[in-house]
Amino acid sequence: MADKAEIMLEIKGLDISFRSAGEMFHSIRGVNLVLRRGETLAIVGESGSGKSVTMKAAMGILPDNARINAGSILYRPEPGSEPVDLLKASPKWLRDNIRGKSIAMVFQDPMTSLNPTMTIGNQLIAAIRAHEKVSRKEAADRAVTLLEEVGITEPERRMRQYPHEFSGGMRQRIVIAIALSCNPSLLICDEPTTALDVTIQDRILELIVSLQQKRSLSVIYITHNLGVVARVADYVNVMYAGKIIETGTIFDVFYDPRHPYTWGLLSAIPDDASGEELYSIPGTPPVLSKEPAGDAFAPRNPYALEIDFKEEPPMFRVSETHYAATWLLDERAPKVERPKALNDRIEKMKKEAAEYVR
Amino acid sequence: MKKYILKKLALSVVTLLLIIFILFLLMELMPGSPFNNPKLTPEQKEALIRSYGLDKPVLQRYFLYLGNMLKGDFGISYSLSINTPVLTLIRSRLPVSMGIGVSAMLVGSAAGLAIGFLAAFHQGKAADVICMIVSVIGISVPSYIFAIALSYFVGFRWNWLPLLYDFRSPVISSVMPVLSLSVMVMSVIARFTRDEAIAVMKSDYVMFARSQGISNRTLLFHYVIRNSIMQVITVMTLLLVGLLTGSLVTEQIFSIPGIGFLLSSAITVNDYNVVITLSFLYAAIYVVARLFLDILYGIIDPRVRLGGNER
Repeated sequence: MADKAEIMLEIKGLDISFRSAGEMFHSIRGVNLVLRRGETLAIVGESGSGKSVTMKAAMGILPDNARINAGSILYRPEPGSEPVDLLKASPKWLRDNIRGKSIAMVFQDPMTSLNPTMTIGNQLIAAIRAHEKVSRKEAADRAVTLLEEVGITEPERRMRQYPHEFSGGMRQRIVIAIALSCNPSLLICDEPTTALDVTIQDRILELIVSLQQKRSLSVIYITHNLGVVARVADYVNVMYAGKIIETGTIFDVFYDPRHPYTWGLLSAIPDDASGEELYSIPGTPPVLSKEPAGDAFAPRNPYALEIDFKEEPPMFRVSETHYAATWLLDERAPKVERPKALNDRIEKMKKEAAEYVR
Repeated sequence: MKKYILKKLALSVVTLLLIIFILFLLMELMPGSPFNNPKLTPEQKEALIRSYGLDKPVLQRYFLYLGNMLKGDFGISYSLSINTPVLTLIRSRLPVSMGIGVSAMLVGSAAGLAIGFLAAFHQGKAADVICMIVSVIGISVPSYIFAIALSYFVGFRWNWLPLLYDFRSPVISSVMPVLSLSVMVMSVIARFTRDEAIAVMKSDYVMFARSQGISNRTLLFHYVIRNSIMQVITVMTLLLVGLLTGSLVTEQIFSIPGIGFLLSSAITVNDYNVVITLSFLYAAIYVVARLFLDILYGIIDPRVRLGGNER
């Protein structure tokens, strides 16, 4: 973890609403996030917590009914270059300089991410020629190399095939090849393995990790799967109801979680060995058509204090890398212990990790 | 692909044979006879029926008719234009109906596609709302209302165009029928195009392509139009069939000597062979159109072409 690396992406106070059926939904309520060059960052949270929206805003591909109320997304395309506010950049500039060229995104469902009426060769060529003035022939040669790189056999023959002729895992490899076609510096993986068979998930993760090392990519994973996070990420941001409620290194968040929501998430990881009933966080996330009073998580939080229902907690500092937004960290708060089952779990994870290293 | 086409072709032939058979059964059930001249005595009618072979059982007539059809003989007219071969009657009228139908189709499709894509690209904005209001009116108001309105104002009040069809100036006298028929085509196609294009623009693959910085031009032609055109072509073909076969009412209003006009007259006087031949023609056009569509699906959409090859 290179703490001294320069800041590549910095999201400050991002605030986004959606208009749907005549109502405004306040989906992103002040997101702050920092990514340093070369790092791997994970954004974790339930569906609808605003993970994908945050990253789509950075690429300028929000749907038409979204409105950005406030905030900035500062991005350095090249090491040492001046940061640019992506929210203020023109759509054309974003298309020419950012999308696919500097930041690329891999979407959740490989079955629907590819154009069904275009050969995968042509889709790769279109992606390459979107940013580079090369001949079709040259682009085709590069496409073949890319397919080889992501582990597609017989790439020349495969180039002429259509998406429906590939399995889900193969399609996700192709999506990754397209995403990497113009050598981006930042790869955003939006639930890259969620739609795949369990047996394929591992291989796709391995592929992304190996490509990341080979191409020195910075990667942001958007996921609800803490298992994925544990394997790949340096830093974790836990998101709830449009806010980041805990952030830290992977060790901070997995071994010393402070927010009751993070406790719930960690307790809810399936553990085949324990044989216990799977824990699930009670209740459902709030509908953000009206502002939650106090902490958005309070109604589901068994440890909620009185103040949680009145005032939103600020980010409390736990250590230099570790912050969490819960009143439990206030010095006036009563001392609350993590549930014992979770502490046992953390001890077990530490032990397993130690064995893994050995 | 060859096997796929052969299969579709065989299905089409079977469908047509079935249709002729059902037509024969229905004609049998129709009340009255082609020989309605009040001057005819019952004995004379009897003799006519026997001489035309109409006293034979249905099945026998069916196979007889099929045999003649294969030789290109569709029978003669019994009452409309006595003893004239049906084909002769149709031959002079079909081009008129088809000419007007195809023109209405071309005008309507071009306008409909333009309006549909325009509305889709400005979804929710003023242009979209206006386009959709126009299309709702065009779909809900029957085309003969436009025909009557056009002939009243443009033909009668302002006297810009001939009121009735004149075979000496087919182009000028086709303008009003074509316009009144194309309104519906335009409206239906605009609606389908808009909905399909919007669905495609929201799809994951367009989102992914956008995230790759693919240019709007490529997005439009290789992603949006290509993936939304399938549905639209289906609708177009079915509309075209309706137009080719002539519009019964519109042909009456402008007194166009087309097959729609011929069919409505033939039905009223029980001219069996004319009704059967025209009904068969409509069915055949429809079946051929479906066949054409199936083959086109195969060409445009690789998933159909390679059906069953999923890996």
